[in-house]
Amino acid sequence: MQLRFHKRIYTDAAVKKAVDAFAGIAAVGLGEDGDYITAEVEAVSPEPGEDVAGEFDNYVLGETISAMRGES
Amino acid sequence: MPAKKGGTRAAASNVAVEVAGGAAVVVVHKELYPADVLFGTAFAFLDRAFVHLDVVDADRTRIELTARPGVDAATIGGEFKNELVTQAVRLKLAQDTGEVRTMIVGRAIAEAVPIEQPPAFSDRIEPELPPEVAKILAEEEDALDFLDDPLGIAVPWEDKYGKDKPAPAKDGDGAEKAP
Repeated sequence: MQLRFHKRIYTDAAVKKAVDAFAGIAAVGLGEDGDYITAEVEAVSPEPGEDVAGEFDNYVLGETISAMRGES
Repeated sequence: MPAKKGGTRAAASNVAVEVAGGAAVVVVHKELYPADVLFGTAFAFLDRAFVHLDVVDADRTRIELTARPGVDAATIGGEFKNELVTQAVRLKLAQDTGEVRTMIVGRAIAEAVPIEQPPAFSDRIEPELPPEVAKILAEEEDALDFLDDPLGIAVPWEDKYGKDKPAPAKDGDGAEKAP
């Protein structure tokens, strides 16, 4: 499942942190498409792929907000 | 009051909510809800929905809330709008009271700082004394020796009143024993 993160909202560091955090749960391929960072998320764990992608999406947002608040 | 109702509808139209296929899509204008408000609101929904933000144009942001199992998408869309208002008020209050809060915390920290400790005895500066007093003190200090024992305090009891030496007679002892 492909997720697209707009660079005006999400940070590159947040996406990379999420990739590291999901290392044992999903295989994530990163790329770029104009203003977007693309992430191809494939679940490695038995959980449904859509749920894993959704959790990945939330994780990236959480990391972006934490960075914006100066928490990380 | 119709005028007020009309105004509310007009404002609400700037925050459109669409619900389709278990997901609610909200589009907000950044002049109404700045990034801080939007992120704060999105953060509050991470436990109930998968939240994805996207840019519509320079002024508008699209928020897609895919409801988690057991959560109604329409409900979550409405709650998201409410939370936007809550966060906007919170931000406004934070901005309005920021200076006062900084002053209160600053004063609390200043009062919590311990008072400077008095200098150690060895570091104390001797007060200025009149020359004659200082001279007497200096002479006494020179004359003092820790080995001096003018009152015989350091002499052991055995040496002073041992078995061989008679204990000092008390008044009255001799009078009783005399025949």
